[in-house]
Amino acid sequence: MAKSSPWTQRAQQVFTAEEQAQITPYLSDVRARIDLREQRFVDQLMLDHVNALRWYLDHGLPLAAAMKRLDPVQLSDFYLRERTAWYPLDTAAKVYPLSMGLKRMMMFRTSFYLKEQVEPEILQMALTYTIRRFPYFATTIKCGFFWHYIDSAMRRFAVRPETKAPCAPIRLNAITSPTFRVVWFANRVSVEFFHVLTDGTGATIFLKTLLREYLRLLGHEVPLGEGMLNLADAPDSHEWGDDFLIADKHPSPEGFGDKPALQMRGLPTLQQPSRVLHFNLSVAALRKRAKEAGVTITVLLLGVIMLALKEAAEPHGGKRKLHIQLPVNMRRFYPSKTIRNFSMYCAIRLHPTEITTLAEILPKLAEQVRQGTTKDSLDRSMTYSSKLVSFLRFVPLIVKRPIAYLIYGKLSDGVFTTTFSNLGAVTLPREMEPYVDKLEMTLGPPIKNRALCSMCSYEDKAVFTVIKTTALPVFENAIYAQLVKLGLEPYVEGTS
Amino acid sequence: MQIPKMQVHVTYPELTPHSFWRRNSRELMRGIFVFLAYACGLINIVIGGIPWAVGAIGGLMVLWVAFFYRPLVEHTAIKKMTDVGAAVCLYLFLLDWVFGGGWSSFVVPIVLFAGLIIAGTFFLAYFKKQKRNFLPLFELTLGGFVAIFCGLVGWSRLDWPLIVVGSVSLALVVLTAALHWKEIRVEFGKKMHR
Repeated sequence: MAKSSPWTQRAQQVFTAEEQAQITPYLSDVRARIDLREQRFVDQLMLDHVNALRWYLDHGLPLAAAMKRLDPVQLSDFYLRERTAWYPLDTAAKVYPLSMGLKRMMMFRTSFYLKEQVEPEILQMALTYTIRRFPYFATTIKCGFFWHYIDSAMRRFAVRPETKAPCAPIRLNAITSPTFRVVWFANRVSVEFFHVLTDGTGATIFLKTLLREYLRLLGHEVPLGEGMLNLADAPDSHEWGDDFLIADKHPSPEGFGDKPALQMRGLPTLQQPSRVLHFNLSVAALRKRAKEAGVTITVLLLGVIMLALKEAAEPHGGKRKLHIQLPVNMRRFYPSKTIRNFSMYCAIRLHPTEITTLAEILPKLAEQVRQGTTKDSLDRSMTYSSKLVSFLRFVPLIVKRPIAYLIYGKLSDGVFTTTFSNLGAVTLPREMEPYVDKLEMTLGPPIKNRALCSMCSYEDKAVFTVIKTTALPVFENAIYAQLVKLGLEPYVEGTS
Repeated sequence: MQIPKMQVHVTYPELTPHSFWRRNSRELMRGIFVFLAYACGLINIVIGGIPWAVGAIGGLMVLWVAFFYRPLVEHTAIKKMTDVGAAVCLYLFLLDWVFGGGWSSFVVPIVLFAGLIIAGTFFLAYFKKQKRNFLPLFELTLGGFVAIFCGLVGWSRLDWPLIVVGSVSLALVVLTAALHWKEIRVEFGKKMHR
């Protein structure tokens, strides 16, 4: 072992002479599989192995078994040879880098809660192995002459303790800056993505695969479940396909140009987001209430949001309507394997005067959801966005960027009041049940909207999340009151 | 129905926010620059005379580009060199236009080829690491070609600095293609995709 490197020093500190003799060939094998240009990444990857081995020893696993679990073969040649793959941004993602600012970045996070505390040393190794199966995520964003694109990044992808606000903007401007981050706090592991990379479905696939690998490294073998990728398989190019291109072309495309929506009251706070709240609900109870009302869970919650919006909205809105943007997963309509963005949006609108009682608005909302989520309607907007991208493809980035930034700054999310992104029921193999408590999804802070909502469920636990940009608590209090009135007994968690 | 008060169970770490000054350092700095720019303009208007404020504002912009501007994507050494080079060239044109003298068509090409030589040498010396960041240099080289084209067709005076600009631009392209054809072709494909 070379004396000067930090990982050899660490190994000498934490292992006995006898243990060092055992691990030296192992570490040499690992070292031979890492050849990154930046030495700090090599040192960190080696340190990760040393720390994980130490963790196993401290938790009673013999060194031989630990080295077997951290078999260097799992690194393959991912950290060894230069990856030259690059990916044009998908149609939906093209707008995100054009419109982002220092404090304005479309981030979102998906998290899983374990029933025990997170072991960061093991989580780091799980990420080191998992990212290999997701070469499209092991990337950084770059500028092209006409568009941004995603380029392979040779680096170590780090797991860090959670020290920032949820969905804080990510630094993208270094040579190999990643476009996602993995953070942990207590029993929660969160993956925060810049939307340029993927949507909620892709993020969940990554999260589930990471979770499975983490559990395996802890000694819990879990079979491959739905929506998980097998780390032993070679990456499939369909996984990073821009499936907007395979979608059916609509003869009369229609855009997103819309009238400004009525917004909620409250001044945005300097620190964003001002608050994140998770309403923990029972899926069975939710389903029962929805069934009683004759609607889906999504429609029931849209009704709850509409009632809360009416209370929280600016008074004297004139003709402006309350507008909820409802993302729709296009994988429902197309046989897509992509883990990139493949969603469109459906608009749900009601004027405050139309919002009376939950029972009265639910049929209207159900009808709007039914109409807005048809393939025909979604194809129409998808064709429009594809045409727009095609129209702009010869305009140099140097011209497009400031214009898009200005337009997005002016219009941005002002055409809707809030978003409700329902990831739906996430399924995990039965073998994971003893270890996983729940999952949740949080959208990043919006620009003009005062709050965004999201939901996902696992087993009987549904987590309805609200992210706020204003300190005024009217919206969340109204949501809480509506949920209590429905008899759903929410257990609320969140930021202070 | 009596609604109980919402109890929030904190599940996030206590954040230790940076001080107001650190958190908003860029906005504050931008505020100072904008204030100085407005102040220069206002003073110039009040006291009259030659429009020196235009030069002062241009100088502030060059300072901003050189020391404070950080692109959100690709904040690389090559990008910084080319940005500063381009900003200085534009500033020199501005000074010449404001104060007169007609020296810019001679001086600016000198600054341009100096910038091209520095950025180009850096690019070729650290090609393996910098090959993915060549776009700003390519754009500056294109600028060089445009300049020599203007000289050759007689739209501007064809002095020796302009000839050097054209030669350096051409040399950079030829050298890069000759030494790293395979790699630069791949990188060019990425940068030019539509």
